Amino acid sequence: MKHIFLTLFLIFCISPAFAAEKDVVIKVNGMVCDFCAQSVLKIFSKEEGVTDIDVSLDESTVSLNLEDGATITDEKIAEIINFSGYDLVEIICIQ
Amino acid sequence: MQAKARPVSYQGGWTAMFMNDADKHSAHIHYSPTVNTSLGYKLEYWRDGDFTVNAIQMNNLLKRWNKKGSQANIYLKSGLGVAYSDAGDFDGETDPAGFVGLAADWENRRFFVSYENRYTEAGDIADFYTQSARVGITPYIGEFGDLHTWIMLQADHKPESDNTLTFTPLIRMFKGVHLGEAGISDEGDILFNYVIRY
Repeated sequence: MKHIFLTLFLIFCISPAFAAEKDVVIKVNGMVCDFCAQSVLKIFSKEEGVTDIDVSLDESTVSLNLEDGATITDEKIAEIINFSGYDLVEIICIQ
Repeated sequence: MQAKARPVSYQGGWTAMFMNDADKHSAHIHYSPTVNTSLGYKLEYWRDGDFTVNAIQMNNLLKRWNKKGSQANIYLKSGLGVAYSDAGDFDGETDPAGFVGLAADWENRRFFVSYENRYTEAGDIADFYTQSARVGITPYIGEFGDLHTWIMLQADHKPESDNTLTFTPLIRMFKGVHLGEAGISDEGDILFNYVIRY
């Protein structure tokens, strides 16, 4: 019985709901339109080490998941946001 | 969703636009080498004048205001090419053609307004000025990835036309990289536009 609970606990912990926290959250200005914000998705998805991208129009944020050990510099993020047509406000790194 | 679905895309992005309204059918495919410029091919068929324009079109983002919760833009659109008439007084005639115009827009997640003008010169075949404006509202505010729906009203002013001022209520819907618009003008003409971004 103890093993069943332990197995269930482990499955629960590694489920997507618990893995949803992002490594980097980027706040941007001007991102009000879904059709235009596709650019963010397209450019970040070409970036090596980025495994998942979430765009929130409500929060005006782009959230990234990175591969273990992968990094992305603030300069690169600023460049991508600029190439997408938006203004970078803040980069928040989640430890 | 800026004037006519963003005449300049993200850096490295491709866009294809197919527009049909009371006056013309057009196709425009452009590439954006920078976030401020797009370069592409424009094909137009003007029904009343029975002439075709093939042009290289360049769009320049002159100014963008990125604000928290809104964006505004001013674009310069210009094209240079050849016009060919296949009917009427100038049947079989080919002339150099060009056009230039300004487009401006502002939007937040609930409201949209835009204005656009253009002067077209095609030698003996045609020369005319047009301008149009749009207002739009979305009945619901969708998140990224949702199907977005906008209700819009477009006003077209064509000083040299029989119907100088026309109004076209339309619906704009977009999801992902696809955008479609459909409407009918107060003169009974159909508007149908489709845009895809790569």
